[in-house]
This record gives sequence, C-alpha cells and structure tokens, in this order.
Amino acid sequence: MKYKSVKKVVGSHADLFRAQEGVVNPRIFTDPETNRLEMERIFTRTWLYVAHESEIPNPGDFVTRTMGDDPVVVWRGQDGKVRVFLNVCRHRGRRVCSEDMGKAAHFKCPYHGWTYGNNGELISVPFFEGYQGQLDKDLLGLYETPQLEIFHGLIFANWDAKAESLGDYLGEARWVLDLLFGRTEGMEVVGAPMRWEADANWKLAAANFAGDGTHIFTTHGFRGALGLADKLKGERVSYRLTTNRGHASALSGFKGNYCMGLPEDLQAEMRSNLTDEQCKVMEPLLIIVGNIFPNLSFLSSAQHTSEEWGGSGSGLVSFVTLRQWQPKGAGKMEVWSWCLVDKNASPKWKEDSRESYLRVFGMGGMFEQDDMENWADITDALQGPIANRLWLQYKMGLGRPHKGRPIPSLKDVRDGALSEDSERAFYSYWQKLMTRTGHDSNGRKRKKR
Amino acid sequence: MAENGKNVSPGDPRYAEILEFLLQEAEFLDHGRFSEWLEMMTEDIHYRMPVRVNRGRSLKPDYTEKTEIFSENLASLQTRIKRLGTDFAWAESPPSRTRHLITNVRVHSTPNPLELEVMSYFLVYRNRTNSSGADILSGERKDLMRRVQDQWRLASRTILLDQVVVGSRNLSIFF
Repeated sequence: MKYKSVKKVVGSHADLFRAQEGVVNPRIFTDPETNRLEMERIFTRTWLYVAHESEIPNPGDFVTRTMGDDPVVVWRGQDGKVRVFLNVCRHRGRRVCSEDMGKAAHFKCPYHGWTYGNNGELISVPFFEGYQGQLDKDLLGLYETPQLEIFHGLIFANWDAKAESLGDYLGEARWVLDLLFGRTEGMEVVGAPMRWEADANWKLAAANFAGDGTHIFTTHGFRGALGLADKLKGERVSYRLTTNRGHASALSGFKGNYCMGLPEDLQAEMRSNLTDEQCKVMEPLLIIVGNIFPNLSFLSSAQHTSEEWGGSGSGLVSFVTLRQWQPKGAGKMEVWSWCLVDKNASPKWKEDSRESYLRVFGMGGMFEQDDMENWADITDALQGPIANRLWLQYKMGLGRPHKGRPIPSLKDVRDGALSEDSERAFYSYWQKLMTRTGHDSNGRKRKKR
Repeated sequence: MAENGKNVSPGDPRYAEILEFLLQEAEFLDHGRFSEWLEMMTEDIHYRMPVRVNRGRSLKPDYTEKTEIFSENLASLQTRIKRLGTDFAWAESPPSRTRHLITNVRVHSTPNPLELEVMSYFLVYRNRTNSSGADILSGERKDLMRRVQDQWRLASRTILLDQVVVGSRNLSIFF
C-alpha cells in the first residue's frame, strides 16, 4: 500500500484533535486514509501487546496474533526464549503457521516447503542446489521484531528498532499494571481468547477503556434498574492516571478493605509483592480499568457476585480481563478478550472469577453487549458529510489544575474527580504519532512540515 | 456422548416429542417470549457456549472447555432475560429479528430412561435496525433432555458456533 500524499495527509491530521478545546473530529473514526496511516505510523512504531507468557509456557509453544494488519507468530524457542516473527514465508509470502496455538519444533511453509526452526532460522529449502549459491539462507530467517520485552508475563513487541524501552514507554502505567499482573506470583490466561468482529472503529473502544467513567450510568443502567448496583456504599475513593504516551487508567472503590475482593491468601501474597503504598491504594479498590496505548485495554471489577448474577452469592469476587481492539479498516475491529486468574488462587476462586467475567464481559457479557452497540452505532452514524462537520466533545475537566499528589510516588496520578482527561491523553498521543516528523518505520526520511 | 446411546429413530414417539420441543423453543426465541422459553429449562440447567479454536487436524477437540461465551445457570439466564425488560438493554432495543432454523435432529437414549441426548444443527439469521445485512450464525447444539413431571425439559445445552472469530458485534440473543 503506498502513501502517495503522506505529507498532505499528515498535515491534515494536525487538526483532527484540538487538545486546548477538548474536541475530536469525527473523521478519525471513519476515514480509510486515516486508518491506513495509523497502521503505518502507530502500529509499526509503538509497543504492541502480543500474548501472555502463560499461553506459551514450554519450548516450541506458539500462538498466532496480529500486530496492526500484520500476522505474527509468538513462539518460544528450544532455548526458552520468546520471539515474535512475521507469520510470512520469506520465499513467497504464505503464512507459515495457520493454527491459533500449538507446539512446534519447526514450521514448514505449505507452498514450497521452506522450513524454519523455532528460533526463526531458515533451516531447509527444497531444491536449494537450484539457486546455485544465489540464496543466502542466513539472511532469510523469519522476519523478527527487532524489539521484544516482557513485563509481568505480558509480552510486548515493537517493529521500531529505535523505539524507547518498554519501561520508558509504559511510564507510571507500570505501577497500575503491578496491581493486576504483579500482585501475586503470576497470572495465567484461562483457555483461549474470545474473538469477534464488531463494525466499530477501534479507537472508540480503546478511549472508552482509558477512562470513560460516566457512560456506566446510562449504557449500563440496567444494573440500577434491576437493583444490582450500589450494593456496596460508602465514601468514594478514586484516582486517575494519564501519561504522555496516551496510557490512562482509573482506579475506584469505597473506603474500606475490599482489595478487589481478593481472598485472604492472595492478599497475603499481594503484601509481599507490592509496595506498602500500592497495598494501601489497593485497600478500597473495586474497579481497575485502563488502556495501554494504542489498543490493549485491561479491566478488573469486583462488583459481580450476588445470586442474581448466577454467582455463589457469598463475598466479593473479581475478574481480570485483557482485551485488544485490532483494527480491520476504519469501520471494523476484531476484539480479542482474555480472562486471567492469579496462578496461586484456589480452584474455586478461579472458577468464580472466570464466571463473573463471562457474565458481564466478552461478546455475550451483559455490559459489553451494550458497549459494542455504542461504538458500532457511532461508527455508522458519522459516515455522512454533515456529521463530519461536527466536533465531538471531550471537554470535561479541561483546564482543571492538578492539586498535589494523591499517590505520592506518582506524578501522573490525580484524584478521580469527573474528567475526560483520559480520552484527551489518548487522542493527544494519537495525534502526536500521526503527525510526527522523522523516520517512517520503512526508513524513509520525512521532511519537516 | 451421543455415540454411546441407542439411536431413537424418527418413528419413535419420543423423537416427535423432542422435535416438537425444539420447534417450540425456536418459536419462543424468535417471538421474544423469553420467559416462556425459560420455563422449558430444568432447575439445574447448564447452558454453555465454548469458543472454537483453529488447531491441527489431529488435535481434538477444536474448541476450548475453559473459555465460554456463555456458562449460565437458571439464575443468570433469568437476569439476562429480566435485563431485556429494562430500558437499558441497548443491544436489543430495538430488538433483533431472528429466525432459528433447527435441523438434523438426532436423538439418543442414555442409561437413565428419563433422559435423552439430542444433537441438532442450527442456522440463526439475525437482522437489526435498518441494515439489509444480517448475522448468519450456524452451529450445533448438544442437549440433555430430562423428563420432569411428564414433560421434557432442557437440562444442559452446549452450543458450538462454526466461527472462531464470531461475526456479530455481540451475542444478545439466545440459541
């Protein structure tokens, strides 16, 4: 795909989000050219989540995923090392692996039989003698991401060899990810991801998870209507994280010792893994939600326990889900949703947690059904030229000064008063990447505008 | 499961009863009569939909027991249905128009004379709002039917869709 008018298109993206006014142009949700540019300028340059280590625990284990539009295989080598390869044969471009998951010492391309080891090396080429020395096998291993880093079992890869480290990229979002993925000895993925296709732009989902706390009362108002909400009451405690890489998270709960509903054995584990400050913040929490830019969202919720939900009705239970919004053009995305449980949790807790997840999230979830309805409807309703003249409103909390540090060690966290600053953080970084001068991932030098 | 039991042929009166049950269910589901549909379940109903996975030809099963789109009991099914009656069930407001086409019904006996195993294929057409397009979802259901107070009831249902990536923005409908 060529970007003939990259300069012109990039220039025009400078005015699709107005940070000072807190408004977004609808075109970013509908324009095919914007989507193509996102693939090039965001999805080849940022750290993208590809898998959790527990999905590929042993040498040879693999899962197939996508990074933007590119298919990849996440493969643990015989040497135990995890690598991410473009799932494309270097000969003629066929996928070397067509399964979702499995274990393999090598992949043999079904077309002409080029064979690659699980370290990516090209180990065999049929009729090799026919090349008469013209083919250098050492240069034609599976195309590997130049960067890969693992944080609490979360495997991230980056096509940009010059990109900053994952730690620098995540910034203080690491502190929040600790609360979910670093609180115990480890998390493990339950089963396989749930996958479905929704006719919605991916950014609507990502920005919603970044911190839209106000849609809950309308979109998910059935809870109140059925008397399932507000069983827990008290003085509200909340925090909001936004980083200059577009990551955002919201933490909330009520004064008390809820600790995400974790049972005592996991809380004990938590106290030995988290800092005192993190443990103290965890105490009142019932909800942890957020988005790692661009498209990895996380959610843990401890509100779904009573008999009406089909739960055991005794005590709190929480679930942890990771979800990835994979763009499929401007108007479509493939949703990947994983459920994770603490490795050391009791079998009963794991099962309760899994059930509470699927009752409310995933494609049949009583919350997520209606989320999809919003994002799909917006994507469709904004297609027309008149709708594209409007600006969409993200003004809440605009210009409100930060007061102090509610969590002393974090500079990017403020109290959780009503605000759409999470969405603004998301779109600010989106715009920065879409209009950034410098090198394209393909090495072309771009001129400054 | 079904392979072990004795085939209950279409000439058997029980086959006709089961077929009538499945068609009645489809009618309730396609006409929004969800409470009546729920009354066709046993108290211990287990209603589930595992997700499909792409694996090698020799690797079975091609679905995972652990990840399910639905894993429901009577209480959670009741909540889902009560929810549809609130003003906040946006995914079904306005409601989907569905057709549950149920075919290839196979009935097998079990060691318990009051229980039958039933496999059926479905093609569910779902249309909503002003779209001329539709979600077309095919698959199979493995049911356990139990005779309770002289009537057949659904005691468990495992639904397998034929898609790994499900072509629907949500599943706010039942199967």
